[in-house]
Amino acid sequence: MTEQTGRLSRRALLQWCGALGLGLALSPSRALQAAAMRATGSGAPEDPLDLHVGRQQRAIGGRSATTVTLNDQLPGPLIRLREGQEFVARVHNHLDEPTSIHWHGLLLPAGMDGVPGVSFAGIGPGTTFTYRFPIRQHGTYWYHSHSGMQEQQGHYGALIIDPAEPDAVASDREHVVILSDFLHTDPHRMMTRLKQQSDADNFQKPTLMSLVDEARQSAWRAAIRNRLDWAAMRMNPSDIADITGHSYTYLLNGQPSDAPWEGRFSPGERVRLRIINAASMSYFNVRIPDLPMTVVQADGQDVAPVTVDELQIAVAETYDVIVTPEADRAYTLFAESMDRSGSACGFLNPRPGQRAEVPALRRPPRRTMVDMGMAAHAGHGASSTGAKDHAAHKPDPADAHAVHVADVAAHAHHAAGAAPPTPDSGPGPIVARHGPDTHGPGNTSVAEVQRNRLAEPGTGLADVGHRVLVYTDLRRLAHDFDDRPPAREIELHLTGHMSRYLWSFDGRKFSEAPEPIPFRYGERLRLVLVNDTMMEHPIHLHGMWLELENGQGRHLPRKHTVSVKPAERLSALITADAPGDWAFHCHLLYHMDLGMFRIVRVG
Amino acid sequence: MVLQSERRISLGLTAVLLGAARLAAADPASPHDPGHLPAPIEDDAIYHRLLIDQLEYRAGEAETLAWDVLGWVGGDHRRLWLESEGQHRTRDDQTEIGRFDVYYGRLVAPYWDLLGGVGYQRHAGVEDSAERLAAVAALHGLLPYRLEIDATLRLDEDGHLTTRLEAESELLVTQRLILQPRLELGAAAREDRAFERDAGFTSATAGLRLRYEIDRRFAPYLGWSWTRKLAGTADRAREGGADVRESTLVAGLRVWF
Repeated sequence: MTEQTGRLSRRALLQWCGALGLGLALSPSRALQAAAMRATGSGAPEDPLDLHVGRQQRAIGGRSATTVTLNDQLPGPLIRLREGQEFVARVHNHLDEPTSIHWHGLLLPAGMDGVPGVSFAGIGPGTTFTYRFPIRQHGTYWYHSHSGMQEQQGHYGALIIDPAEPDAVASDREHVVILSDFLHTDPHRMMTRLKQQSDADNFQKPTLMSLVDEARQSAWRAAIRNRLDWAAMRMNPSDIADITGHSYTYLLNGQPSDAPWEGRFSPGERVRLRIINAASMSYFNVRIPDLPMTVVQADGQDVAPVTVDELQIAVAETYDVIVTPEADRAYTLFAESMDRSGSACGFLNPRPGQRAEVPALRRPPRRTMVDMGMAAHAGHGASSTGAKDHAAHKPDPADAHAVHVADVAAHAHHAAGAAPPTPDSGPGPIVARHGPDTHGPGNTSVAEVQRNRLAEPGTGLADVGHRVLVYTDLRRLAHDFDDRPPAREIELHLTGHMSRYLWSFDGRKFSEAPEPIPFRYGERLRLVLVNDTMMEHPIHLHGMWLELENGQGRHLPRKHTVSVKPAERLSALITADAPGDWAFHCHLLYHMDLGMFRIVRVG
Repeated sequence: MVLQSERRISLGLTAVLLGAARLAAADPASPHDPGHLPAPIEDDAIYHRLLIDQLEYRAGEAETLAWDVLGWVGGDHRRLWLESEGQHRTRDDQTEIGRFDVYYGRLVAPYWDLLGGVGYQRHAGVEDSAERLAAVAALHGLLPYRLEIDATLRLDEDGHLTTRLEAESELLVTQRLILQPRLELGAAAREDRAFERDAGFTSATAGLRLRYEIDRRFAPYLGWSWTRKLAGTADRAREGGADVRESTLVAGLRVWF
């Protein structure tokens, strides 16, 4: 993961495989496999890439676990390609169950997209499937299994495509940073557990003890009233992550915090970090204390540089950032899970073994009435930590205004050259109200009040006191905007039932609504997403870009995965230029597998 | 008498299980049909849970071992349910079965399941015991302020109509130390000599249990339970020289899997 260029990376891979072949030569069966792996190619048509999917018992964070590996690696090997080339990969399934590889964010023929049941039949045990398609883009992407929850067990890796033209982003060195959440138990068992008691993994719930704490910070009346409000709604304000650090070991490039990954730099170098969130269920807050990060790419698309101190990365998103560490010392790359129940970390250092201080986990955030889509306490209470939202019951307009002005100023400052962010960047402005349809018994709540929350920091980051990336910051650099106005609009609601652990669109899971969503080939349309739940959902469309309507005019960011905040209403433009069937789903693995999934048919 | 009722129970249960299994199978299965392709996700799997909410020793005049069990198996909207509670008296080696109910239920509103099925009850009196089969309807759900409700309406084979309301809540002291208050209220439409109850309210029970979740699924607890017979049922008990109220300390285990 530390290689500087594609050529180096491939050479290192070959060397590594060669070494493995030698090391295992004594064991005949393994030697055979190793021989196959020695042939691991570059991915060019004359030198196809071989990927071997296998199951392996290995120690992670000091405990043994069953993992799914690619070429015996977790994460899988870094694949490095060049825009314009033909890519050929042979995927050999050594598991006793079907597998698949989905190339996340890539524009390709539907049959090569790698979703069993949508684009192909899957890769059966003991068989090989050959992927072959032209590479029509550049940037940071990733790949992962779309079968049997294998993603949760390690079946993912980075896919980097160098531009055909010289790279618009200059850097002296680069590192790939893959964040993930590893589960030591069988993910299917975890699924059963969530079905049996959905909050079983949450150890940050409001308690009698924490009430005392909250009362000390605000007032008894406010603290108690807040408790009663949540109880009255039968909801839990600590419902941030379904699976937490209690069960997860968070990994950075496959390494837990107690055996941290290290990335080299020389003081003064411009270092490009290609950050990929390959977690199954965890959003991360990423920061490097004392080192501002300049975001230059989002979901593989070059964007106008934005300098921030922290960014929240949704599941399946990627961000490329440039950092310039000047001091001759180590820096901590810290990725805190959004619910702050755990973290992954690594070190950027000039010399091996150098360490820096690891920040403590901050106070767990709480959901707010804004997240619940409530009209009450409007103009206040964007996602915030601990006691702050209890104060939301005693609105202080002057204070709210102050925060808001400061926020706008901060954005104007660091997003220089970008279109102005949405005018109201406290809790975003109310843009719609919910209709009479409450989406049936499988859905517990609706966003009565729907807001544009694109200018709001992610959950827990409203009051961290430094610059945080928001969606309105993203401004795509390229000039190939499709100017056609959308001819029609499709509205989908993200729905669910936390205590029963049901997840769906419009109150119906995939098996209850299997008919594809029709897109007309070539059309320009608008997809409106309304989040009726109180959780974020990273919504991923295969095969086509979601152009997030964030106020950036003809420079809307192209995203493969858009995180929709609780009670948010957002829209994306789509040019339906990819014929075939495509998966469209929430990228939280357990939500997808329970039915927050649809097929989009372009034809 | 016992044999007969056992046969009736097994016949009844079989009928209910078969019927429910057919209904469950009628759950809208994935008709997405790209020919030979497998389904991209399996979102209609069958899950299950067995919660032994109480498995406890009750001190007091009559030492008893009591249970309260709730189980379900099924999909998201349709499930088979099992509910049972009762106690075994060590003194006279008698077992009282408050309910052994098997249901088919549907999610009718976001927080509410409506259940219908058959139930078995056994009353162990001082001298004689009696048992009944009944048709039972139940409503399970969650009220605002997180009050868990279990209401049942029971019409037994001899035409006795009874109802029972159970309300339960959970108060977290810490992340693992949890206080569980519980209230039960029973009523009967008319007198039932064999079960020693009169028309009107029959009994009320209040309980308070403090458990420690060593694991979410495994929690020992200590608590207190108080029961009082009400109205005509209480009069009947007094006449028979039995206790009208009982207050006991309890110690037990709460387990689910």
